[in-house]
Amino acid sequence: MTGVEQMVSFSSSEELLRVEHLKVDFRTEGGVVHAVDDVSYSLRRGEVLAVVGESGSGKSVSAMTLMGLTRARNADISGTATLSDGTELIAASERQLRRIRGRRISMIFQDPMSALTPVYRVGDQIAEQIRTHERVSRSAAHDRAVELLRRVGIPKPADRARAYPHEFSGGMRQRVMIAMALSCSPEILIADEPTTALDVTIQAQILNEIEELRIETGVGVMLITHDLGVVAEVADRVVVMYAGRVVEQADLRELFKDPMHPYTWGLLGSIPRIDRDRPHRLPTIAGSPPSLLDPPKGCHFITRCPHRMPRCTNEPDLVATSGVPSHLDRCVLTLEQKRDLRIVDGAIGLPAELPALPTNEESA
Amino acid sequence: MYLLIFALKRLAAAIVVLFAVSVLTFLIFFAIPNGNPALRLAGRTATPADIHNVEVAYGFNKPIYVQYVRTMKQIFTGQIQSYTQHLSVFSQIKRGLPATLSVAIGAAIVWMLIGIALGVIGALRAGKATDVAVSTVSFLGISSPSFVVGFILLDLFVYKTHIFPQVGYVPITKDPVSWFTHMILPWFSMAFLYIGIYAQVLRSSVLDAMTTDAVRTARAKGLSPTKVMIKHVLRVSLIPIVSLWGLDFAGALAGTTLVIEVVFNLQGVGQYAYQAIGALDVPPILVITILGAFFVVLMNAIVDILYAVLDPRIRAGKG
Repeated sequence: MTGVEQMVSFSSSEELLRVEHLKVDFRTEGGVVHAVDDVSYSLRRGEVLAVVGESGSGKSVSAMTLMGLTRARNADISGTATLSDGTELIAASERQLRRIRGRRISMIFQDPMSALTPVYRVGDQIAEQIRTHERVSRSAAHDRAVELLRRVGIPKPADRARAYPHEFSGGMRQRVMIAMALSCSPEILIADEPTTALDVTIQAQILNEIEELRIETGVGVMLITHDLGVVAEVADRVVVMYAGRVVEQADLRELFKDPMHPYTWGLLGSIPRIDRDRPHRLPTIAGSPPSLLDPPKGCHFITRCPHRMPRCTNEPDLVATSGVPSHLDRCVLTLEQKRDLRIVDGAIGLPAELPALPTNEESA
Repeated sequence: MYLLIFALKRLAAAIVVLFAVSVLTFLIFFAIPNGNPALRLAGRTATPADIHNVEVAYGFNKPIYVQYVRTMKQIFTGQIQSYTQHLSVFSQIKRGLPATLSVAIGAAIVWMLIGIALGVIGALRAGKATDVAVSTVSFLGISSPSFVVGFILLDLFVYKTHIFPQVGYVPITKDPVSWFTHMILPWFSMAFLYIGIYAQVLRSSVLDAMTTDAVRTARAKGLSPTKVMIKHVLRVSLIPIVSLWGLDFAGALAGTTLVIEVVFNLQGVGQYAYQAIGALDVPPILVITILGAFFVVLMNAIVDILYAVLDPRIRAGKG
């Protein structure tokens, strides 16, 4: 018995992880990069929490920080990240973290082609993780590795365990990664863009795999992605990040039906829709994300927001504005304004034209 | 099947290389002035008639290709003798081989171990004072010819401080301790250059490997830094070093040992070649050159096989 197959027998609202006021700064030659700026969220047992954002929004950095993988001499990390038993990850010693990595929190990465060490058989790489955390014999660990490969849908697992990473396709390699991540029955699985490097049909298979594992094992999944299509398929709750900050956070349905933050509107508006006439240009969000070396004062989305106004140069709080307590956003528009402004050509989106940037004189 | 084709290809290449090397070496002695071996064979006080007799007796008046074939025949039957001492070349080489192998193998081990150690330290301390020190030592090694290093070490540790015994070779079978103390300075003189190269190559390949996704995965598995370093960083970044080592060892054995043996008076094959070159004595030079070339070709093939063993990605046996 691998322990992977135990059934869910707990209240679904049990918190596995609570991240509070996480800040990650990197000191570089060009100045301080504010990669993660006061981010808070929580992950519950058996749920898929999607963390959505563009490259550089801090979504990967915040996840890697939980694992202690961003610790470096030039990194300043503050805040707390607490596991269900009270273990705090940010202040934990490297030794404590090693007991947690791979055992209580596992991670799978974007590019399965390069995520495994090329010179070892995949079965050995899985067994290595098991034997790092549990006192089991070499052959017992190997048998478990084979069982895990079978579990994630790899045909002829006993043979394939003896194969090298380059002998697998991308999708199969990602399955190997998932098998490895699950080898010690972790409470939390962090999946950093797990399907981005894969073909669309393979993407769906991998997402199904994660979905099934979640149901069977009750593992809490933190799914980092930029793909709202993926989010719509598997997420229970969504955290939208922009330039190091959380700008909106809600249950999946709430976020898609009643999005409160202009950046979220832009994301939703840029999904191509087959049920409408094709626009002569695909909608995009004008401009590019701000430099994290020198983020704008106030709302970080101010440089690209068509609905910006002088008040936006004061930093808005992350608060519940839609009336649903679990639905938070970081925008100063009123609820009526939001519900009115977000409709562009009959659907949620952002207008293309950008008003002049409010200056300090105006806001004063 | 694959291995057989590989071996045959290698063999064919080896034959071509050895033929070319032997022809070139042979021709050089006809091209250099005063290269006529009859002059040395006939002795210092020989008359022109004596010289002519020698030329006829040895066939030096025959066309070059006849001489070449004759010489090669002598080599392959093991009959060949040196012109100056009239001693069997092969028995002379056999006599010098223990010293030469002692120097080359010992130095290769020294530079491999120290090179790896310095490379890893440099990578782990990248940018810090230790790294700068390692790089400085490396570049000092890379830019110092081995005979210069040899003479400096001799002066410091033998003539000035007497820490190490006088130069010369003591067979390992006679006195292993004395053999070792006589070998330390030659090893380090020879290894210094390669230590510098290996430390720098490994430092950069370790730094590259440390930032790969695979190493991030290894860390995310909860492995200790030591395990990550040895199993997931070094295991991958040592692959190019191992192949470099095979080739450098062959090159060092076939080349650098000559200089080291002369500096430390080790009476090995290299010193034999050195003396033969000084006397324009063709047979020893020819044989040693061919043996050296053969060894380089052989090590090349071994390195290729080793590469396939170490890196499953280039193992072609499948399918």
